[in-house]
Amino acid sequence: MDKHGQDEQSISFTCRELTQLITDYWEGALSPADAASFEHHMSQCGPCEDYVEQVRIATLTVGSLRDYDVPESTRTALFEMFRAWKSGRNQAV
Amino acid sequence: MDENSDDIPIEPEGGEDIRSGVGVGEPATDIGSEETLLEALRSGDEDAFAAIVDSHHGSMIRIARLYVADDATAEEVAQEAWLAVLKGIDRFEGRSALRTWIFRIVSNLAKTRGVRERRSVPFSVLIGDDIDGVDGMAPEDRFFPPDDPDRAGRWITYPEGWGDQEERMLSAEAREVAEAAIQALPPRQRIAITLRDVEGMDSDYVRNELDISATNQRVLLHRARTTVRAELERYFAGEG
Repeated sequence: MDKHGQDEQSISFTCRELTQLITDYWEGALSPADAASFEHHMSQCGPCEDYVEQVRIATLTVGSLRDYDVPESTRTALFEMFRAWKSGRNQAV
Repeated sequence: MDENSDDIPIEPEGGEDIRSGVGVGEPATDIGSEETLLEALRSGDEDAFAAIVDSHHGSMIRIARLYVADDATAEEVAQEAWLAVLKGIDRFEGRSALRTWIFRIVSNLAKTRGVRERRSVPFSVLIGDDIDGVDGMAPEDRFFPPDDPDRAGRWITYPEGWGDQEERMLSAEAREVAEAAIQALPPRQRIAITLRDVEGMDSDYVRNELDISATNQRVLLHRARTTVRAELERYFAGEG
């Protein structure tokens, strides 16, 4: 199998392959040899380094979507529920 | 402690969390303070309840919304989940994080609701919709084809460096683009990226949620991340 024309270094990745392995790399799912290949490729290839950085930034952006403020009306409804639960509980005990 | 309490065993994955050390991600879970919080909740302390509502309500709506058709229903499901949390709080033994336990509850309620209302596509129909064909994970049309003698798999067009635009990428605009990109994803990719990257859950949680292998969990997550990156690039390139 030599479809990528890499007969000498069968464990090295093409740029295309590297872009598909980013999450595997981050999740520690690559073998030590593949992880080393990944890192070696990154150290030699500016475009891939940029690309990986962009996926990282995209992921950070997604991580920032969690911010949320509970609206007052919801808070009121939930506290009513909480008080009802509490009073039912106290009666039961 | 009982092996089977709280439903799901949570084993943190050994992999690196790329969000650690960059100020985003899961708030530190202090076991001691979580126990204190639980005690306070059980004794009916309103401040404790306010604290967990602030910590989790937004996440609960987001999770419910993965399975139900509209925001109003997601809000209802989240409120229903709070009642279930309170009713179950005495049986919660702390085998998993409180947050994980709460997420399980809201997720199960939302799935039930989604199926009952027939507004969401049944899960069985979704299998295979977005895992087959690993090629979908590469940014398309940007690499020399496999039959190219010298340059197979290399970049044709380099990704434009974002350089000092990192700040813009984390702006409110960028967040809107990312949000829209996530909403447009196939269902299981949307679930994977929402749980992992928005809510900061670990891969075992997602595998459990979707009943998929570790490999497929990574495929779904990576495709989703790839799409979000591409949408951000497209948006900011178009903006000039």
